[in-house]
Amino acid sequence: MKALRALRALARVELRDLGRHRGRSLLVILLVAVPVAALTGAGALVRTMSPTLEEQRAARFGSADLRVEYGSPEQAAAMRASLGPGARTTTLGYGVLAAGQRGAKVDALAVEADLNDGDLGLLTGLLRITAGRAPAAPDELALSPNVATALGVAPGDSVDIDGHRGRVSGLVVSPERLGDPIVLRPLQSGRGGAGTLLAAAPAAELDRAVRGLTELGARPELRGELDPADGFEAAVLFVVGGLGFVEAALVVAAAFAVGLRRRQRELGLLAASGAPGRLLGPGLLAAPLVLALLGSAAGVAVGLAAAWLAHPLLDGWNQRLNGPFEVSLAHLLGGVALGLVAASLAALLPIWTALRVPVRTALSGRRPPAGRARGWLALGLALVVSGVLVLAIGLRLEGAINVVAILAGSVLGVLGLGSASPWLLEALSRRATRLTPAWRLAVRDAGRFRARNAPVVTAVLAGLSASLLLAALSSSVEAFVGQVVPTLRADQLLVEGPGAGRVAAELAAELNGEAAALQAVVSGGQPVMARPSGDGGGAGTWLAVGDADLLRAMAIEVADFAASGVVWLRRPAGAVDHLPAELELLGGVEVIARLPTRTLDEAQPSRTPLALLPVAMVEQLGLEVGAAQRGRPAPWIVRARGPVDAARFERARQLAAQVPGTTVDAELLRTNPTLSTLAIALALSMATGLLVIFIATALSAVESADDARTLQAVGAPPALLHGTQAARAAYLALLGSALAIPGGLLPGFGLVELAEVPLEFALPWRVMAIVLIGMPTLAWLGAWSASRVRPLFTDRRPLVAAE
Amino acid sequence: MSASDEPVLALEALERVHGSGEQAVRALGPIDLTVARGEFVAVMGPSGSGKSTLLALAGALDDPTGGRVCVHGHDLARLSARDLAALRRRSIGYVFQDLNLLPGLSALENVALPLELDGVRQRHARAEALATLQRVRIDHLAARFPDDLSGGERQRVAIARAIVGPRTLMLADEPTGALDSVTGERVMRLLRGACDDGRSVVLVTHDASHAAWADRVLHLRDGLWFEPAVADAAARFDGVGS
Repeated sequence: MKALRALRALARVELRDLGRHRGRSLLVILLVAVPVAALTGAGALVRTMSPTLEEQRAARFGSADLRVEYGSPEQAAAMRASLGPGARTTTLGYGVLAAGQRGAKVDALAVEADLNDGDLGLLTGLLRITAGRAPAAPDELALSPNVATALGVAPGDSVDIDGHRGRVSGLVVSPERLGDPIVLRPLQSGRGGAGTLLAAAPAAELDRAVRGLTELGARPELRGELDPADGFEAAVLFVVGGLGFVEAALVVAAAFAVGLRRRQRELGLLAASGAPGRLLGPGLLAAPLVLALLGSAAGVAVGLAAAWLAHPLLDGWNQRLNGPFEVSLAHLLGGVALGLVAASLAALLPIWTALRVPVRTALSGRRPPAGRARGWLALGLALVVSGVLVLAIGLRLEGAINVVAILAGSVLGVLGLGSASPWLLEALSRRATRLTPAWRLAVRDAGRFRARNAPVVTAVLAGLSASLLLAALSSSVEAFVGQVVPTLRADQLLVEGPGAGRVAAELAAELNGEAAALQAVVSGGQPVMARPSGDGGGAGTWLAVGDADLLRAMAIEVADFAASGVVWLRRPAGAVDHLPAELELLGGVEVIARLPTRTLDEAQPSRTPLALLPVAMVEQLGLEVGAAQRGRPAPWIVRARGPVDAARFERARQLAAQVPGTTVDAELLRTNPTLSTLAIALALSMATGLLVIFIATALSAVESADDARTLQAVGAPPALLHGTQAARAAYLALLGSALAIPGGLLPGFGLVELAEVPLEFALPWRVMAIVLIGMPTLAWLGAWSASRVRPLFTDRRPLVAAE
Repeated sequence: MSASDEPVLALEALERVHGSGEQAVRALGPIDLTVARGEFVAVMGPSGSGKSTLLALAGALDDPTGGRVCVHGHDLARLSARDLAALRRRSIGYVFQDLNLLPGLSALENVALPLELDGVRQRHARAEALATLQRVRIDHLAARFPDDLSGGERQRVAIARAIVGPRTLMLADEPTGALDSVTGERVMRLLRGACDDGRSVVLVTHDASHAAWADRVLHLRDGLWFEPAVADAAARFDGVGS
């Protein structure tokens, strides 16, 4: 009881201190609340987005009990017969059809099923009617909203389907794939081919039905045997959330360490007043627990509110009907528990460190001598080596375990580099002699207060490592894509089909560019092929014919093309070591002419020709101009002024859609799709890193207030006071960024090695430069502009405070 | 008046009031004081008499609410923040009990700091700092950091920093407060030596034996000067130094 009373008294001292330092208390609450909010909110959204087992079953079986694939209508009939009289069945066929209305034309997925009474029957769940009703008559159909919008029709209107007229009875969606363009119509009589049979049978007859189908050689799937999803998203969320908590805990630990160090004399006084040592620790833990509880509660509330506000957007984001907002009690309790545990763990080391200070030293207010940081270096090296080993082992493992090993190796590596940072801070502080006063003070302070600054460096390193990992993957993919021969130049469009000439001309006019037909030299109706003389039995490449328009559209220049003979080009990835002096022209398998050749070192994409013949020479050779592919109109090449972006490509598609059968193609695939993701990840991790650094700088301003006063007293100009704060922030940013490079590239190397395509690891130089130069610069600028110089004795607040 | 005759420090009707209205507390003044070149002035008074406020105002560390402070004829109220900083670097040295050394810098770097801040090349600043440390006889501790020095050694480093360079006015606030009597004597000898070199010193102290090193001793009570005879009586009544 006595101990309890003493503990209560100590806890009271701690709780009063929270009120006295509201700013710092609020900071800790915020640091706990943000990851709790992120985890709780993301947890609720993932739960809302994840299909339940029943939703997964409905997506596969509709409301049927089993499904089985058949190869022909006869086989389907036999299967139906084997199911017995109590079973209800629906057959389902898929195909692609073209729906048209008022000049618009859409390719859609045709879903054909036994439908006759205006509802979806066994398809309920697999599909959902969102307006009108299901088709019942042979000439009725239901469209997905995107198809209806593209055609400009609504329920009740008529559309052309594969040349037949049909009436729209309603709108239909696939709940798990809202983006699918669907045309649902009754099974067409006489439809052949394969399909799916859905069947519902009374429970007592289900076994017999399965046996019957099996005897027919079919392999039925049963609704009750569908395995639930593997919960991959939850695992990813757990890992990401865990990393977020590690980052937050590191910063919270720094905040607690500063608070306790500033109260060192007070703690000494408590000990001198007879506070039992075994109770001081638990007493000191009271404040972190209260702050963690407040932070967790606030985080849960904010996270849930944000998720609830965001959940209406989910359907558009993941293209499925996600259903009502769902919250799991486990997520809520888990968020609170993680917040409490993280903050408590974060407080333990600073409390332990504070309690180790001898009472006399504590009362004197002097800092206890800091121990050397070699132990941290040993620990860091051990962790980094372990991480590399785990990663190396992971590369030799098969299956999903190698990803786990790479993740584990990465985390060990990052923790190792972070663990070595106290040693690094100390070692660098000893070599700061030659620096300017502002940087010398920043580097020395970082070394002196390494218990606070090492977690900050680790937090920055962890955040940026993820971006560098992604950057390494992206640059490797980019290098791989760069080796692939492009189909077209970035400024070219290829128009094919019956309307190619007209569409190309319109496009060239709109884009202020050039258009030319890709016509071939033909002989006897067959395209003439060209190959270097002496190239053995090679089939050669088709010989294009053209004039100056073609050269402009292909972006090549040939002086006096009309008299040049054959012009031979090359592909980008091809070596220029084989430059033919003469080309053989082949009519079928016979060599019909040999022509001197001008070889140009001009890389050409794969869909434009390699060999060109001036149109003036075609007649001289007794040849003709025709199509490279018999019976098909010549494609046209259009070269725009500037790259073909998504808007230009969409316009080209619109023009082509006016002439049925006409298509356009452009080299849009060369855009690396991971770049935008990388930019977002990089911006987020840099913003988080900067936030952590600014918090650390603010804490350092609190702790270094006396130093700032001394500096001002010896005549430091205001610029130096700003500069010291800015240098502190920039130094931590520089260290975190520099360590993040090995921290991110190592796992990046591992993932590149695991990739299915033969990627070669490429260093992301641009991102490395952004991280190494951008982070310190931003930190420096931010801290400089946020720091303020206060008069010396007008109040008790610090002279320079980063806010 | 020639430059050498010009007072190093002149306080005219100086006053400092904290707060306003009914909450206003007069910490100092109005008082006058003139300190000549090479003069050692000791200011004594009980706690709360305004000694530290006087020193803060004299050193441009705080703004007066009335009157003016002139250092070498420069009215501090007319100087910008940048000029005030330059004045602190070039003309005024401080030795304060709680405004001490920068723990991140070695003894040598602490002493060289005002010179470096003034744009002196690092090598020259350190050479001059080392020479100053030799004068206070702790040059062998130049590479040590403040946490590794004793209280007396730290105070000698602070004095070295206060006299390094061209400074002519030293303001010392209880520089011996945390020191034993022998070390305190050494510190006072250094301050006296600084005066003998032509610098002016204003010392705030509780200790009459330390005040005895000064050329002139002034007494503050409730922010105002008062006569020594009255001071003696007050000392008998209150116990000066309590």
